[in-house]
Amino acid sequence: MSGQINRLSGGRRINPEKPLRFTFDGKSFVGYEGDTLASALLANGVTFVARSFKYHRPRGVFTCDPHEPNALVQLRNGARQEPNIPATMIELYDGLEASSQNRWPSLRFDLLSVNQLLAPIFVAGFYYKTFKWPAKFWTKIYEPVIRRAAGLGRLSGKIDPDSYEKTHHHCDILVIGGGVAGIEAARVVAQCGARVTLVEEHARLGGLDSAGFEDSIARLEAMENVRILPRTMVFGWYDDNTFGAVEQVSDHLEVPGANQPRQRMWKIVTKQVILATGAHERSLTFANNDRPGVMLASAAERYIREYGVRPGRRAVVFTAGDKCDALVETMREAGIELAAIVDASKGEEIEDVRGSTAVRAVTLRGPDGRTRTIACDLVCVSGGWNPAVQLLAQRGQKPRWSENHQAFLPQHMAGDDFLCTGSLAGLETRADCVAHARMTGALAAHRYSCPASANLAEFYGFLEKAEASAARHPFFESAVGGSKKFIDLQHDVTRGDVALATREGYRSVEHVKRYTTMGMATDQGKNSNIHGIAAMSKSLGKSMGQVGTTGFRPPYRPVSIGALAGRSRGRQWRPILRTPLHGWVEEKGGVFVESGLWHRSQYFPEPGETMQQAIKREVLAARNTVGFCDVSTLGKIDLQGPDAAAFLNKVYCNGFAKLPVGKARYGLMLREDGIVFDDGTVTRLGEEHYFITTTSAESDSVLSHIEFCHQVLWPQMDIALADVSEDWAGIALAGPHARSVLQRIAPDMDVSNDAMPFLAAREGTILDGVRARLFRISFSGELAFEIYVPARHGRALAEALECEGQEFGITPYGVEALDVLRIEKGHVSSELNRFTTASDLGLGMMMSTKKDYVGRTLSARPGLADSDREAVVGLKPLDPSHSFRQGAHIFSKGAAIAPESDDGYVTSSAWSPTLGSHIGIALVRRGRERLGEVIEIVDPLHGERPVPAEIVSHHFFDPENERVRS
Amino acid sequence: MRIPCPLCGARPLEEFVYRGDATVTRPEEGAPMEEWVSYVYLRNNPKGAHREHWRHVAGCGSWLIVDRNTLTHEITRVAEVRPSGDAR
Repeated sequence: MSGQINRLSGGRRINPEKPLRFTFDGKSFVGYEGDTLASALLANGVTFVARSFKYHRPRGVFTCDPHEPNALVQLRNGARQEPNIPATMIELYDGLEASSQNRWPSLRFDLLSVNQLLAPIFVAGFYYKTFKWPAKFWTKIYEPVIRRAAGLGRLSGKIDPDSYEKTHHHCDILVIGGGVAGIEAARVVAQCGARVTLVEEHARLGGLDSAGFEDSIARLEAMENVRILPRTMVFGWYDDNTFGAVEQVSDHLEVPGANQPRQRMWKIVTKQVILATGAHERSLTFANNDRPGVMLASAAERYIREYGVRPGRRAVVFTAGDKCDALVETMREAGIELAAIVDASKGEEIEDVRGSTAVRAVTLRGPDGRTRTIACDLVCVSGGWNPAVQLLAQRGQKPRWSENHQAFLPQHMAGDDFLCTGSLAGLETRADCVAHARMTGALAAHRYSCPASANLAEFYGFLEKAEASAARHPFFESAVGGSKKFIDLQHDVTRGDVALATREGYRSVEHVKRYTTMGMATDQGKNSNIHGIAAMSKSLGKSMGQVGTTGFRPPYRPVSIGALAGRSRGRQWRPILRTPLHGWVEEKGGVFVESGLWHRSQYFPEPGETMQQAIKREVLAARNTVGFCDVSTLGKIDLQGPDAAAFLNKVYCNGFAKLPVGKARYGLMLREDGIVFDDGTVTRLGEEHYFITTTSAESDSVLSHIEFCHQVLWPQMDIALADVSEDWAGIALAGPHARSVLQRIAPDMDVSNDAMPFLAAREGTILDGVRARLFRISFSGELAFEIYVPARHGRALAEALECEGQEFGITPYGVEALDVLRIEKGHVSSELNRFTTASDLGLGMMMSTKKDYVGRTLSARPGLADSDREAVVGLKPLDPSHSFRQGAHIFSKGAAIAPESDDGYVTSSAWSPTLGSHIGIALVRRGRERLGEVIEIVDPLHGERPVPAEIVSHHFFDPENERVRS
Repeated sequence: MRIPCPLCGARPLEEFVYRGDATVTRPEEGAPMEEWVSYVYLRNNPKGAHREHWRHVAGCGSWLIVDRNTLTHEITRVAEVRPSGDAR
């Protein structure tokens, strides 16, 4: 305990009964419950806690707030290690481990502090000017070295073991900021019964000084219609009063509790918002204003009062004009010696700060030009206040410069659905904040229960009066002093850098920001921007208002990627779709493959079998005996109504008017621009009843498209559509014995070739009274049926097929075998690649000339009708064992391997066990005229040797279509 | 952004998909190629008031006509393209 040399008694947040052990850079310390890491380090006399970003200068705790620019540390070890966390926001817990960043080998002895000596060349635009050539040095040498030198902390590189979650929240009134203004506004508005949510980024309400507000807080907490979210930061204000916020649920614990997330992202939708985001105290620009021991006045005051910590023993206060009465009084009570108050409004300035790893003295210059040096170990800086206008600025409001307040204020203090109050609105005293906040709460309550806003005039009047009576002294920078006057502590941007940028011709604050990188660190300019603007104002001879602020975008403060991802990681990265047969496939030892959101059965290996062997066995079973395959992933749409046939005629390029009841037909759908969109089957189940299947991949987009056709293009058509994709399980049964197996599971239905010829469709009952739809359609090229049963019977159907087909050698097959079968047959699938026309696919004959349909006119565009286009053909390598890949390119024999002579590409390839050869389908320029030509398949991407192959018909197997009709 | 669906009420943006310009009309059958090219490809890109097609894909599935200001995202009117008679 004796280590806490700077601990005072009476810190309001501190519980001295509860000591907590922690380590910093491996050294053990003790703090108390209620401490932050920053306050505990200060209590232990540790004032030098970090090295700066560029120059590796020693830095100490500068604020008491989330936008701390200096004291960023690496928190925890192992997989939970987190870099760049402000020590001011880390609530101490027992066993906490933290370390300093951006130093090597240690904080005190840092080799890269040599950068300070090189400071004259590390000026604004240094990288742009220096690392221009040779170009190839950038990625190999310059960037790695710079990244090592100018770093922040490091990620663990391990998987985050904690969970994050997201939640939605709706309320009537959202109050952002739990300082006294937020508390009072929330309390008043909540009395009208509205659902109020109060969000505060710190662990407890009260803001800068909550003394005397304990009752208000307690009353607010007791109200049932009030929800308080502490440790929650609103990072963004989006359209229609939607807010993003992150709650640090368990960041203050060593390890989250069971089932507790580390952070929770809130999406809050509110009718009205009260902004009480407060103001940030600002620093002043003077030489060596970054030394450990230089601290914001309000921070020093809060460390003493709230945490019982003495940030120094002998202090100098540098103020732009504030009397700093509260600080002076607090220091007097704490026994801190006040060596001097340097008041810029009286012409006094700090010329320099002495000391390297700690402040030793300051040199002052009086109005008479005389200097004196005063020994001290603490410099409290009070440069005025910057209202936290960031959220308003996110909504496109340009902050307005107030000469009286010497600050950028909200352009609009109120709108239809928002009200600003407290120090955000420029109010400077606590009494004003409280009075105006109560007025604001009443106004919000009035708006909630009756929309008229009767006392808005009073609301504005109060603020105008406060502004009229404000008379802050305009002062940002000591006129005297050396070169190291820091504007942006976090990015090591100096006054000189800004001056250089303006000398080099930069005029816009946005450009100076990017050129010097001021305001681009994790504090996003909350400490620095105002001083950059002041420096520009001086250099350019413009007013502060003319220079203006940079824009502010979300997030208000850094948000961890984990919070944004929420549960969407690992297996929950995206939804998984499982077919009704999933469990059955698992039991059969089937291997799954992800296809879109679906997990589809890929193949069914027997013990000891490779994937290739399994596929071969499955293909041969379908060709020679019988196989079955889960096709439940196909999109399925139920279409009914008197105009159904006319509607199908519009959305498919081929005709459907004459499709008889009980028949299925292959359908091809185009986009309006003439490119093929999707294919599938349409079955007429009744006079006005159709069952449509789409490809698995396009099921959602097809549904959206035909809903568009129905609702937007032809609303007068009397039809109804329903997506029934998940209602039906589907199994394709294929092979010479398919009919025999089907007859056994459908004893009550006549499935003979006469009763159920190719493309016939029947409804009936199978198994023991299960309603089923049987379609005699074939993707494999075999005698085949698609059997659909209600999804809950999918598994029973698979089991029945397996059982009844046993004597025929029935074999389940997966999507790999399915693909081989369709390539052998020459059915297009991956050829529908959003570049191909019906004609390219060899399906030009399907395009009706007798009707209007989506895509008809534009499919006749010269470019799409060009005879030079690529067309679907088959490829057969001269040596059947030569394989080639999908994506390989086609070149004429002897042609230069160059884009100009490219003749097309391979769209499908497979080893065909049926033909005993590799085969493929390709899109080849003028392909149909080139049957018999030997070309080369080239795949330089995979470094493979060209494969000579013959262009053949892509209908490799049973081109006469005899088997499907057998 | 929140879109007040006439059937479902105000819902967040994620529930909707955007299609685009609702001011274009599909040409009549037999219309010249130029009209089709214009219908499919040519779009104004207005800054300000615009009429758009959105679909409430994660809700009722309706295609909607949304009058939206592309600058402020303010939505002034939402209607079903094909009135169902069920609108609130």
